[in-house]
Amino acid sequence: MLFSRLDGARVPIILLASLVSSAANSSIFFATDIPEEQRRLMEADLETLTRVSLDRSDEKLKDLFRIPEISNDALQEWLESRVKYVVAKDFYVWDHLYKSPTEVIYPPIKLGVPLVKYLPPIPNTSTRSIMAMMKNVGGGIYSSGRSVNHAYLVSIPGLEKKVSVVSPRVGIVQVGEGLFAVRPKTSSLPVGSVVFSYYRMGILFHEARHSDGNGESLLFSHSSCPPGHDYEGHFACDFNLNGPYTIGAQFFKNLLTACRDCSKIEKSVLKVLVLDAASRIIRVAPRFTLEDSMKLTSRRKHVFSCYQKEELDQKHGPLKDGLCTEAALESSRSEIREIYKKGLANLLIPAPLVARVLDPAPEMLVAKEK
Amino acid sequence: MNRTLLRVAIFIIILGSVVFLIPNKFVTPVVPSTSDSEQPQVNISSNGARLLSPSPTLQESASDELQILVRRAGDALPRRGQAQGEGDQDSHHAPQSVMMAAERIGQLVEHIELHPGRKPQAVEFFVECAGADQVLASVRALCYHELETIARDTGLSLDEDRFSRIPSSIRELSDALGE
Ligand SMILES: [Zn+2]
Repeated sequence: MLFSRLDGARVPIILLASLVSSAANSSIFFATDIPEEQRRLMEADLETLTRVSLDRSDEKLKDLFRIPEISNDALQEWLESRVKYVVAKDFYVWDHLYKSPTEVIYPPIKLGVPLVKYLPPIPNTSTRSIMAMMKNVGGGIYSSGRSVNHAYLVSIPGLEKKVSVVSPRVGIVQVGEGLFAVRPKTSSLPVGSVVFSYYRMGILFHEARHSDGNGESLLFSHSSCPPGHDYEGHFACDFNLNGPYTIGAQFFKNLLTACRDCSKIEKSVLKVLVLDAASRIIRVAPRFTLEDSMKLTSRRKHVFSCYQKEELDQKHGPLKDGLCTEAALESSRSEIREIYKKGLANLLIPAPLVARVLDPAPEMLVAKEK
Repeated sequence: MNRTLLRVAIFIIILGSVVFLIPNKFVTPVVPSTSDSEQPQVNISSNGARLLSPSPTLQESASDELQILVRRAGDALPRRGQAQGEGDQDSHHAPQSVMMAAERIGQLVEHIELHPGRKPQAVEFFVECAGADQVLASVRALCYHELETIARDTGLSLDEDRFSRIPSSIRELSDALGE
């Protein structure tokens, strides 16, 4: 039932593809409220993907993508089975969600490797708005539906039928302003340099991986980066060997190897994109004794409450004096780092965890039989 | 302004000598004092330069250009913490400061390809950069990668003492660019 509805929603996409909102050779549907300039840029990127030189001998990329051969068609197909709709930056998900009348059953939650959360993420302050690059909102909707045990339908501007969210592969990504500002203002490279297009494509491939997974690997969610990492505390790292950052790193590396027309400067930028993504792949994670684990929780709570100090002060009255001074915070942070180090070095039980390849097969809900 | 001039002068003196650079020297000036308009104009495009055969005068100007490129690359090195809160950017992907640093390093690489005799001076920069704790790992690994390339081309051994402060984590990260 639900599936036919999903199929129904895909039909107009194919029809519309040739008319308005899809790139010439791509089946990805662009919501009609995406500014034309942004749509054109993304269409040009997708067009580039159809003809860009690739390193066809890249076995790692082949294994990672689980494709029979490296070709433009294969990469495009991989992408399009994970990214199907692009919505505008102002798309507010909850305004577009409808509960499906069909009763559904989600696959059971498998217990597996927990997400490694070393530190709470640094919350955005009210004055700071992040220029997001791109978000896989489809995965989030699937996951929300899962938590309340019903299926959602999503309305996408320009699509007549609502899209059924029956799997993380629903493939709805939302663009952010950051995606259209990847070129630094002081860059010496021309606006049309291939590296900026490659960078945006890499982001798209990264988001595509968030459409995969089941159980423990569902959505290939990021872990927070560990103490001492450049992005310490941000959910901007992967604790696995085939997540979005591995996809990005290998994709950029392939383009770097294949780009014969790239200048030294362009190659240098591509190299750093490989390295930035690779630096976010965490290969070993600590495990803690019960005592350390409790200490860690308490220190994390301290840091987190200070991050939210303003809000908490308003709610519960001012926190004790000196609790959130830089010295007090640093003391908690350094204890967290110490416990982390100990957890990594622990040669007894529990031994540190080693990152592994996770199952990318997407889970799917089924309609309950009446 | 005076401080900037002083810094430039000190830098040039140090670069010209064989003396090692003080650790983290490149790391201090992170605030974008790198405004392009402030810098001496460098013809980054190599197209013209490629046609020239090296004469003593040109070698001198290449040396000046190298110093400028090294300084610009040094000024562009992004510090840790800077990236975490880089204005309004998404920490999910490479920040612009990382891209800019890579561009500047690319300009330097382009220059030493044209003037291989200048590689030893560039080595000093790459060692400093790769060993600088305060610089983001991705950029340090890029510097180490370029250092390895020079070592391969020139027979330089990376086992020398002066390279020992480049941690294994940075060397391993740079492997992401290898096979
Ligand atoms: Zn992601």
